[in-house]
Amino acid sequence: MHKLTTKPMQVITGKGGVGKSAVAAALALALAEDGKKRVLLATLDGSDDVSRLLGCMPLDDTEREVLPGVWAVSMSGESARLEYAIKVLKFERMARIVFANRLVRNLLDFVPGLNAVNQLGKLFWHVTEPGASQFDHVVLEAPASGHALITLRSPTLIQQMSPPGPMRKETQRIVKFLADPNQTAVHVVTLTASMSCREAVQLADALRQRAQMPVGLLVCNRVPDQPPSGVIPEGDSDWSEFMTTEVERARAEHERLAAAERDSKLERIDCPEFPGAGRAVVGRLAEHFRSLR
Amino acid sequence: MSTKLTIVLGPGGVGKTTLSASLALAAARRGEKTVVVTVDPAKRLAQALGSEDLPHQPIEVVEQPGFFAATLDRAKAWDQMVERCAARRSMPASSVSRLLANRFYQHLRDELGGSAEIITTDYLAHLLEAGGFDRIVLDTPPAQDALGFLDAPERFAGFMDSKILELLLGKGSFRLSRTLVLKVLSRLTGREMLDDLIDFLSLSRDVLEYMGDRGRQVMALQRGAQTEYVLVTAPDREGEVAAKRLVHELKVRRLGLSAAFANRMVASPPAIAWEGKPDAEWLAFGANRAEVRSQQASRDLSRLDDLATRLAGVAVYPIACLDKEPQSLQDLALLSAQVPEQFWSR
Repeated sequence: MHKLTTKPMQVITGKGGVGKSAVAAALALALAEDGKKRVLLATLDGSDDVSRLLGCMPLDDTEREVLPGVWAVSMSGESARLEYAIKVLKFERMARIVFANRLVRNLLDFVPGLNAVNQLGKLFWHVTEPGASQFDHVVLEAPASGHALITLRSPTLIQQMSPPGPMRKETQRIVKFLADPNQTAVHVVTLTASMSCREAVQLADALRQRAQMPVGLLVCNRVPDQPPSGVIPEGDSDWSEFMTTEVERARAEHERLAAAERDSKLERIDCPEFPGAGRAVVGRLAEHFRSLR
Repeated sequence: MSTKLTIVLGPGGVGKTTLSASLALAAARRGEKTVVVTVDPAKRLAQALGSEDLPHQPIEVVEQPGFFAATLDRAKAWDQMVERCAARRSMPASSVSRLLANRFYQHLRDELGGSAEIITTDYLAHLLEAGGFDRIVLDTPPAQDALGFLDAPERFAGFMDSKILELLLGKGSFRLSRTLVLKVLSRLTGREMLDDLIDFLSLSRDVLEYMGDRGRQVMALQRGAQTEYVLVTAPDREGEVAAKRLVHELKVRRLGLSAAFANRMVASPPAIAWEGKPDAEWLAFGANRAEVRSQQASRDLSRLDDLATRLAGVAVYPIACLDKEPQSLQDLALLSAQVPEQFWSR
């Protein structure tokens, strides 16, 4: 596997609809198969494209094995928050009473970055703390571009604002882990469409500048074959028209990817367009990830 | 004159924004004065129209009289909303500027999920009050299946319970003691943040009430006879599942779907017919493209059938994929030409 895809924390982001969940599930499966490892495939705030993709039961707060060696979870802010408060602040009874209040819950949902920190913190423990719930890798299917940045920047934001004490200390550990290129890699997924390429470039910049995250690969999804060079050979009129369109389209797509690679300054990997859907595509993509060096 | 409202729903990445603009263009060409509204920092609609900077107000697309587009900039729309509210409720200027600078306000504006839905709600109410359009086509913000928009008005209405403020300020009677709440919260967030929050809540009372009024206005509108819901989806399995869920969610809210579009349908390739014998590379490339397209085309057709079965009783219209990405008004016209007459004469 590519060395950037084997860090303990793998974050997958990109524009909406580019196949983040398929890429995340495939990467998780590849890691599990390649090293016989335990892998946690996580999504935030109750989002769940993974179960749709794999055709399994909807995900929830409990980790469940959805592929061999791959456990999946869809974390909610609420449960992560309680766990976090109990673990970090060590005031279980008080936290339970206060968090049970609806007004307080609404209010906490509103504190910038708090939910994200609670959830990222939980994932951080999953790969760093020994125990039954320890995993070798976490693959996080982060939200789409803009929202992903906010999520990933949250620990820094909270770290600056929280009072000295256990909360700040813990947040500092999370920030350090997420910023460490030996621990974390953030991959940007794109299709060949121009808007998705443009967003990938902006996202790569923002991840470096605004979130100070260690960026990983530009994962180009559903890439057509590169057309041969030279003039298209003659055919009958329908076929020639079809070929002209296809060649122009494929060339434009490859040019866009080359430009995105150059502008994003990310190392690029191309994933071919596999036939079929759902689980079958995830399997083929996982094989592809395993074959990369 | 009552304005018709077309609310376009669908998962992300299926070309919803482009198709919304195409529907609006088609309506305009039928003689309705139409505006398409989209909230999107990527300014996708602006790109599709070949204009990078559409102003915040609806502007008429030069080449097509009667066709207007409004691209909302989220931050600007929020500040405008606060100003509209300040004017209505005669808030002192100092409170307005303090609110605009408050970090909770900025968070709500820039980062909170559902923020786009909230300003869409306000903008819609604003457009309807201003009047003048025969039809508004709303491209819902790209949240999870765009369902957020359906609930935004209600969340809006009950968004910030004024009781929270009372709890934090120690007014009113609560089973929880204020001291305990403050203690837990300040350990989580810090005292400074908490003070900022209390300041925000006191400053934003007027705005929250105003948002509540707007929310109720739009809630009534969501159920109005002049409002229709249109689904845009991709002809694949995810699209089909998204469609099923969306229809269910609409039903829960006692709303109905008027029509669905299966967007970006791939056409079957022609038979391979080279003249002479091209070299191996070309043969392989041609065969591969023909196979990929043929698989996609048959998959799309069967998904179209599945979708029609899923949506029993709702018309599902296929929209063929263009040869290249839609970028200009001409491209939009190619899409809007595919919207069949039945869609309008339902």
